[in-house]
Amino acid sequence: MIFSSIDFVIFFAALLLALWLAPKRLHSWVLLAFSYGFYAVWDVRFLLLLAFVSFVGHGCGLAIERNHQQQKNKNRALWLGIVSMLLVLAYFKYANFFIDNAAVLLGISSEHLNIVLPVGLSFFTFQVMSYLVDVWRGDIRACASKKEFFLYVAFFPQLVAGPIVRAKDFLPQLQQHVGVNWDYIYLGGQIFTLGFIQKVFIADRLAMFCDPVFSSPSLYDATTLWLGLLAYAVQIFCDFSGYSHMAIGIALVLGFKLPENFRMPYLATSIADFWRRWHISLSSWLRDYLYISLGGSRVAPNKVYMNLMITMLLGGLWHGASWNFVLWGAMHGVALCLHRVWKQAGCELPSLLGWALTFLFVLLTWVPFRCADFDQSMIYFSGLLSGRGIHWVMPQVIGLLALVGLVHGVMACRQQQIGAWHVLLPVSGKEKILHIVAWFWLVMALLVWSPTNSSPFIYFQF
Amino acid sequence: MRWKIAGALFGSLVLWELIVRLFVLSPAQEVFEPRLGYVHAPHAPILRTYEGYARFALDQFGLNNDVLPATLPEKRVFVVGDSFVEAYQVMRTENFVSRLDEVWRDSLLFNAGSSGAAPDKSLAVYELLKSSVRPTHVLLCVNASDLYELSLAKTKRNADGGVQHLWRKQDAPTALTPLKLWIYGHSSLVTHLKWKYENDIRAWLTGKNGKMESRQSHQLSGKRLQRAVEYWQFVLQSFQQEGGSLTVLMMPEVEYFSGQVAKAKVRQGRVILTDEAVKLGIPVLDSNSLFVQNFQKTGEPAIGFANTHYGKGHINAYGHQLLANWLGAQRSVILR
Repeated sequence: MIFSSIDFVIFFAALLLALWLAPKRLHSWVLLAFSYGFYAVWDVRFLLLLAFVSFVGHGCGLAIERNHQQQKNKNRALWLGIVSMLLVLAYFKYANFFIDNAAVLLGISSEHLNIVLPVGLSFFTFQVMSYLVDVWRGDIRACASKKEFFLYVAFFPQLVAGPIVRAKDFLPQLQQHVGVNWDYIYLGGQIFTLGFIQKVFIADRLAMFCDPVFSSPSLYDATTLWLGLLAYAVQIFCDFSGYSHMAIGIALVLGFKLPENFRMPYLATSIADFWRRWHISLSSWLRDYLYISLGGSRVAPNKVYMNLMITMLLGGLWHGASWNFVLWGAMHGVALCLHRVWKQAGCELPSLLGWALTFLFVLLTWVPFRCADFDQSMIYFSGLLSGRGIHWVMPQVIGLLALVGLVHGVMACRQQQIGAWHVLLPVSGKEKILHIVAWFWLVMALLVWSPTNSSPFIYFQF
Repeated sequence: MRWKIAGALFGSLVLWELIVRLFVLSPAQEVFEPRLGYVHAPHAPILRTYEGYARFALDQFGLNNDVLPATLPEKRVFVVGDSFVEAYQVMRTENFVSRLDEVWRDSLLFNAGSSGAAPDKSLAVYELLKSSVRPTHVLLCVNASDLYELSLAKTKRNADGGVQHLWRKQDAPTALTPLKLWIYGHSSLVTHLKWKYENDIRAWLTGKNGKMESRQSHQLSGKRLQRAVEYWQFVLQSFQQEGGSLTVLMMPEVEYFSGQVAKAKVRQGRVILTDEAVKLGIPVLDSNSLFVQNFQKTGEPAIGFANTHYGKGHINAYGHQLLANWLGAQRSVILR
């Protein structure tokens, strides 16, 4: 059930009705039931897995807190929780990848295990791990209520594709939950619409161009491949950022604030800046729980570069069990190391040149990220330089890219950022007519130009 | 305040009507014809941008031709078939019928293509227009799925059991009320939204997806196959009895993939339609290999468009030119 489907509209209307009818003390139960229902629509079998992950996280969190005086037991409880999450991830996400590579190394044939990847697994296991580390570090207290912890893990707006929410941001909101109110509905509705436009109006339309180009890169000429790459860069941004906005909007309608996930990443003037703007909840997770745990930048210089590479390689692998994602992570890791060397040498680039280089680099890294395998990535790279074949320039794609470029350009000039909270606020008087007309034009544009079939969000596969 | 809001919204709707009319789609001006159902109105303006780009006005019969002149040349070729002949994806001067007309200066090439027309409907179109166009030659354009489509036709039989007449169940003449006809005929916005969302809303309400059902296998067997073959023979014989020389053109059914690989579909219908025509001594021109070989040689796809996808869909302007050049070389067969 994707947010841009009619099924979801019915589901959400039923949830709002249930919240409206139920007394406030039952709101958490209603949200928990609907969240499990939402997940069951994907695959009812994995409700048990979701419950298991929540159960282990909750139990280990309490054990860490109970043993806060006994370091050894506290560590054991932490490792039990972390290893359980990693085992779940390893089995469901990486088992076939390990088997394939082991077979190649040993020179034997292998058979794939019949494993279905539960949707959103990487997101909710990471949430539980961050919670356990936070409790272990003493940053937060363990959640005593099973109901609240289970809801933290399963809260449906961010369950299947993030943002990865920290317990310290979410759990207090449950205790001070104000319920549904009109201001939140109005604001959340606008954020949701912003995401809906990104997804349906831009990402889904660009997908119609990107999918055939990336599936047969050898068929097209260099211009088409460059256009396909540019279109994919915008598609993945609008798809994931659109999903994040929709999730944030839905959560806000329900009375919860989720963290921002994107801050105009394609305006970054360095690769480090890019990672402060792209998939913020994951990059900050990797920074706080992996990079810093490895020693961060407070170790010998060589070790810092190794920490950066490990963090980015694992960050790449987080996206999927494929060497393509490892390559993608490695490219970013190397770029971050080079940026660090450059910065420590005291060199500075003019911001426009820094932006151009960063954008070009990020663009090129989308090739291994999007291509089906390593060989296809190489075909795409070589095609970018000397591709000969069909020259396919879709006018709508140019139009959409120009529109997105224009928005970015205006924001860059005004030094503003479009984020979840930078949206229109309630208005009155003459401006009201303008707002109503603007919304009407938006709805008409969606009706007239949106594709009839919405494709699933790209990040659901991770 | 309310009146201001209503006025602003009404003004916006008018502007949207203008935008759609200028850049997306023309209104659907239709009239009811008893044998064919709802068809395009004479001289209706056409703008199509979903696949390719086309903008022109139809002729006095609601077909994709310039207005038929009062005096006709000696040779009049009636080119009839489905949307591949109708060619609403390219400008009129670019489709293969117009291109042939341009080259064969001594003949009139009349485009009688209409979307979704199986051979039985092509026959009905012919019978309807023969007194106006007075064809001397017929180029009947078909594709493999036409055999399956023929099996769906209704029939009226003679006393001896032979086919007397083929027909299709049409919408009732009152299927569209005068108000709906007027709205569709004057509003591009309504026509566009209806085309776009009607199927989805119906599928959502009824749980039946019409698009998916229409994509079922076209493989026929048993009595249904016999019936389809019998109907095809009836269509061919009916054309032959009209006296003009008949040629069958198998339209291309090719998809293009990477590495200049073109895949021509070999389907039951293509084989049977060809065999039955040959048995009756009717020449069959098959354009499939032309489209495959040309792609292998040049890498230029003759099917598909910049605003959809090269390799799939209808014939593009390059394909129409290719087809016209090839048919031009078959003049002695078509104008025999």
